Amino acid sequence: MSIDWGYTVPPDQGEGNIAHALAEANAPRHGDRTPKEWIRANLFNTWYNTIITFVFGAVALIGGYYVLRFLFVTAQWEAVSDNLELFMLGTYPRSERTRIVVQMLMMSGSVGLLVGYARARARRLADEAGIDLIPVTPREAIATYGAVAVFVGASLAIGARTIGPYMLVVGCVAAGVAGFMATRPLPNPFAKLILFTPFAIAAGTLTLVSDLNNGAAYLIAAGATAMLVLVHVVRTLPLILSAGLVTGVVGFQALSGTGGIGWLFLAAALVPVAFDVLGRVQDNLPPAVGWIGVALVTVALVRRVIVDGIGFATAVVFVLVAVAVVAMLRSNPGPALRIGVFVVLSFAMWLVTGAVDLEGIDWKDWSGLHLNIVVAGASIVLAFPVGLLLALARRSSLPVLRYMSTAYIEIIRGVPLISLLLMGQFFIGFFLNSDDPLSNITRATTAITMFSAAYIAEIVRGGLQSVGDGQTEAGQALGLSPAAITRLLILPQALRNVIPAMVGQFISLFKDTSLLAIIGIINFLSVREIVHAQEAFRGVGIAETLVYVAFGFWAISFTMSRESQRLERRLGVGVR
Amino acid sequence: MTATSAASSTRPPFWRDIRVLRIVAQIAAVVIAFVTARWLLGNLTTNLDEQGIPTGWDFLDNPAGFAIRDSPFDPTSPVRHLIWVGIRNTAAISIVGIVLALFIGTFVGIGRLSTNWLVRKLATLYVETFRNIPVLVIIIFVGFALFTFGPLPQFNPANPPQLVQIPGTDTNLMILSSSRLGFPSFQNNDNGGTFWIIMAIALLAAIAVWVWRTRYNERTGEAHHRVLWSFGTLFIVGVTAYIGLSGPISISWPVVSESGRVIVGGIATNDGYIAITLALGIYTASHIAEIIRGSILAVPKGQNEAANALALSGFQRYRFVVLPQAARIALPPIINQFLNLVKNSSLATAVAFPEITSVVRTAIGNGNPAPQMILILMGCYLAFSLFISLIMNIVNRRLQIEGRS
Amino acid sequence: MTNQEDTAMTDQPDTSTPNGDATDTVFADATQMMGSSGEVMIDLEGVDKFFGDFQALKNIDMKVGKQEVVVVIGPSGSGKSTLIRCINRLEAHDRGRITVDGVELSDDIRNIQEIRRETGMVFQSFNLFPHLTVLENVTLAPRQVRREPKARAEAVAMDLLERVKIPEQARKFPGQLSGGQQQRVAIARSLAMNPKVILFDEPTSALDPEMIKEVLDTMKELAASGMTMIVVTHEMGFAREVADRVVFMSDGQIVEVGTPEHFFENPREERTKLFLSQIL
Repeated sequence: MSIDWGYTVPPDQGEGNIAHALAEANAPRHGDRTPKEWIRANLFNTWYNTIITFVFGAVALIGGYYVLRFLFVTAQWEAVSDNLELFMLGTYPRSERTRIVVQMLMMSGSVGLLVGYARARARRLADEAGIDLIPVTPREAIATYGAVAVFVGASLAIGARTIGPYMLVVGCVAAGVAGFMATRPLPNPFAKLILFTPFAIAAGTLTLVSDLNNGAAYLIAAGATAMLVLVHVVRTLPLILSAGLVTGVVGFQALSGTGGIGWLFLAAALVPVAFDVLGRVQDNLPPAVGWIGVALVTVALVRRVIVDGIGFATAVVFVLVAVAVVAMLRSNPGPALRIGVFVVLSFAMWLVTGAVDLEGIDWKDWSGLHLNIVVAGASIVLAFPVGLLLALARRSSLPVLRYMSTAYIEIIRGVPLISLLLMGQFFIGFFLNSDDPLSNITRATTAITMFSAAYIAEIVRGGLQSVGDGQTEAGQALGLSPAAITRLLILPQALRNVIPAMVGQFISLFKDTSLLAIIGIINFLSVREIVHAQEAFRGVGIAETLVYVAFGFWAISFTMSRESQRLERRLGVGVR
Repeated sequence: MTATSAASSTRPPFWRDIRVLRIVAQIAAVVIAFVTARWLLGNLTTNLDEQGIPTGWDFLDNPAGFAIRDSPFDPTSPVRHLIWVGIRNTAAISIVGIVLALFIGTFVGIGRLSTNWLVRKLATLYVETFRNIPVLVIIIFVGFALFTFGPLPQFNPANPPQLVQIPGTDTNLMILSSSRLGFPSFQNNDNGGTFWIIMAIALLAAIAVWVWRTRYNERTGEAHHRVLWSFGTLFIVGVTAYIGLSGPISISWPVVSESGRVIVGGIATNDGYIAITLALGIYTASHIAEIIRGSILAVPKGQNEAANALALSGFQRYRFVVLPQAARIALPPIINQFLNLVKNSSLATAVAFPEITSVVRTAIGNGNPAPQMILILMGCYLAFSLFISLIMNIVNRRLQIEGRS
Repeated sequence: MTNQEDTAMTDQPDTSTPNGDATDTVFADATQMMGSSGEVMIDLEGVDKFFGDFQALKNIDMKVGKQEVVVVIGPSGSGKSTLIRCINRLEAHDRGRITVDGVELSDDIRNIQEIRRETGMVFQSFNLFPHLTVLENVTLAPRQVRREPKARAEAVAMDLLERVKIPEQARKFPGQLSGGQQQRVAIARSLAMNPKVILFDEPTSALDPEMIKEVLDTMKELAASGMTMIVVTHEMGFAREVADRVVFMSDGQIVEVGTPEHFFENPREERTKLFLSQIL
């Protein structure tokens, strides 16, 4: 049996190495050794190894002693504990804390639902194909998520003075678990009670942590529980997916407000369940229905334009309607109906968000660790379609598209991110005609998105190359159009192959958000400047805050890289 | 699927003809790109004019108006000189950083594969720690550790720096402090230039001797001792030239100045430089360690078995079988890491070292037009990357000739 | 290359023997059909194909009739794969004319799409879509290209899977099937589009020997049901049993054409004899 390399040597990488072979030759089998024999084999097997062990051992012990002494004895952690909220949320207005709570609970629930969706879908496919799913072992879970758990735990231990943060963490975990459980059949009726725990905990958290009055808190909690019950009862895959996405979007909008193009994302979140319903009734619908839908929307749109004038939102809806009309004119009832449904959904969401009309907190007030996570997430979501298009263009048979996309990719990959951030800071706003100056964070996010798009394009290109030519030829031989071939055959396979690389890109992106400190945006790293500008901490606790920030970044990045390795092992894929 | 000129008897209508469609699509793409670019640039120039920012390149000749720390740069020098100083500093960081990263990274990478459990775990600890922390945090950390916690004294009259002297004399071999390091350097006297030219020729001669001895070894099978021969050639020519030109160069020893605040003579580096170079070296080393580990693992196991069957010793196995193959695999990703190191040097602004990015930011702060300066900045890095990519392509091609692709 | 050289060859198939049975029929060129209903399905006239300077197809003249089974054999590099790949435009021919069921293959994308709808292809490496189930593999094209409703497409697909004798695999993924089963799925996938002719590009060359039979049996059943087929293969047993015509290609040219009886008993050309001696 081989030596337990743990995670350091992924099982299917490489066929062996000299040291490994040597080690195997020199060391007796793992399971048969007593501790003494093991020590002899691994630490003292040759004379130079003995010396090395002594030297490094001494260094490690001394270094470890100093580190531990620093962490637990001599360090003044007040610099961190007194300012914990600053680190996490930055200069976010305290009075709006409710929004953060709602957002975090909703996001946790969304994550639970989406993980449950992935699991349920995998189970369904596996059942039909007659294979077994690999269960998640506790050891795997701890190895993967342990670091971030330690970080959260340490933060709480250091800095949480009231019960509020504890309740928040518990509430998020409960929301996630409930979301996941809602997707599974729960034969035990007592188990179904789990669905109601978010109700209790969320209500409690909202009343304790925030300024939200009890009534509104219970209302929000009740609404979420109702949705969970609905998902559990019906439990079709598209519904679960939509529920997860809607929860996420609503959670985001709790913070950012319902303005802007939030309605578009809401409509997109509802697409899975809407298309599923459509698919069931589609064959019985005459194409005229599509035309009627488009007509209705056009009428309502025109009325809106007459009242409010043309804005960005109306323009987008116009474009969608035009696309629907073109599709229907080409006598393809299928896509036309879908586009029509999407148009109707978008319009409905637009009306809904207009009615609810929640004022948001502008980006520029977001800061702290919260900002790092949001910017990284928003960047990768926005950069993904751009990167995808760039990769397709780079592989296109049309030379012009190839040159233009290659030029963009190579230029962006050749310059450091900071130069793009500076460009964003100083003159990206000048490219647009608007009088309204873009906020600092918008400019920075634009720069980071441009940056990521080039790297994502290279990753996707690798994935596209990994799908063999035979797939394209088979599609062509069947008479599929090039668009259908790319959409249905190539992309699903290519994207699945590059999931680990994409997670790696997200990790890089998250680490790169620390650069926002250089252009003066308060993120997790530069909160320190605010902390040490305070009277009490001028020149005090500088090392402690630095260690804390480094540990925070480290824990999150490390967890994500473990997750990527876990995915790689399970999917059995990995194209680098 | 490609469309070539098939001699068909009927020409399809142009809106269905593949060749026409392809050309039209490309023209459309160019037109869209062109129009968009014109719109964007138009907005840019309009807005710049409104802000009173010049859109030309004349500012390059204006005096800079500020000084660069620890450098003989003169505030009245033109801006273009300023940029040149920044580029030089970036190169200084990159070269030393790359050497450092390779050195540390090789050790750690091989350590990851050691048979010694302790060494393995320590190396893993190193890699997993530094790979997951953002570079900027590492830079700030190293800077902080050096400046505040360093075992070396601060550099001021009250805290004189640590002097490492040649035993028995008063000459400083090294001057150590937490903010400056001083090393001896060469100084050109008369005929100094000639001497260096002669040495350059000697270097070429040494290479020729190396090749000659290698061929000799191939022909006759005797030991080539080529290291001895080449270095011997260099040494003999050097000594002869030195004596013949009557001391064309001499060593300039570093000395603490009268004021006790500066190093005079020799080469002095400033604190920011040490911090950024060390930090980048440590960070990039963690990536290089992973690459080296992966490349050694990727050499098929059968190679070891074959080498053993041929009775090669351990060292010979490494030298002739494993490392060449591993190097072939490892070289492109390592060159990529060099590129990353050069790009990461842009973060030296956090430790106030004036490489090209800090210089540009200061210049913009002093009233130079931002778009042009940033364009120059990006152009510099693009030049660096192109240069490094070129090297990578040459290396790749050479490797492919030697082996099978 | 065909009728100019051998003056002993007649233009009419020589079917007379002392016993009155047709045993040794040789054709002047590939433009005469055999065993078909008489209508021309595929017509190649003067087709040339170049890859750079290398000429892969030299002046190919060939006709394939409806319900005819033509087997193309030859050494590797002779251009047989290129030939059938030109028919459904996976390669574009440089000179000459290709007509499939009356539709000419040109730069007109509408023609290309129509021809691809009407021709099916079975590949040497199967090329099934690994991320879709077997059923989805078969129903993909009818739903996307012919716009068939899901229920009907699935019913047709199950029928076809029964025809190729693997209905129980419908919900599995291609990776779970053996090579022979995968190739039969590929055949079903082509049939789902209701093609007029199916092109086979060395369908059994990538299979383990014990699985070749099941695929060949499927192909035999297909031929017996009246499908027009062009098969590039090395399986001489199949050619002997099922082919209406055997075409031998070498160096991009059609060298000899005949019935299976003629080919395997009494080949005329030297090159044909050399090739057969190497593989039989």
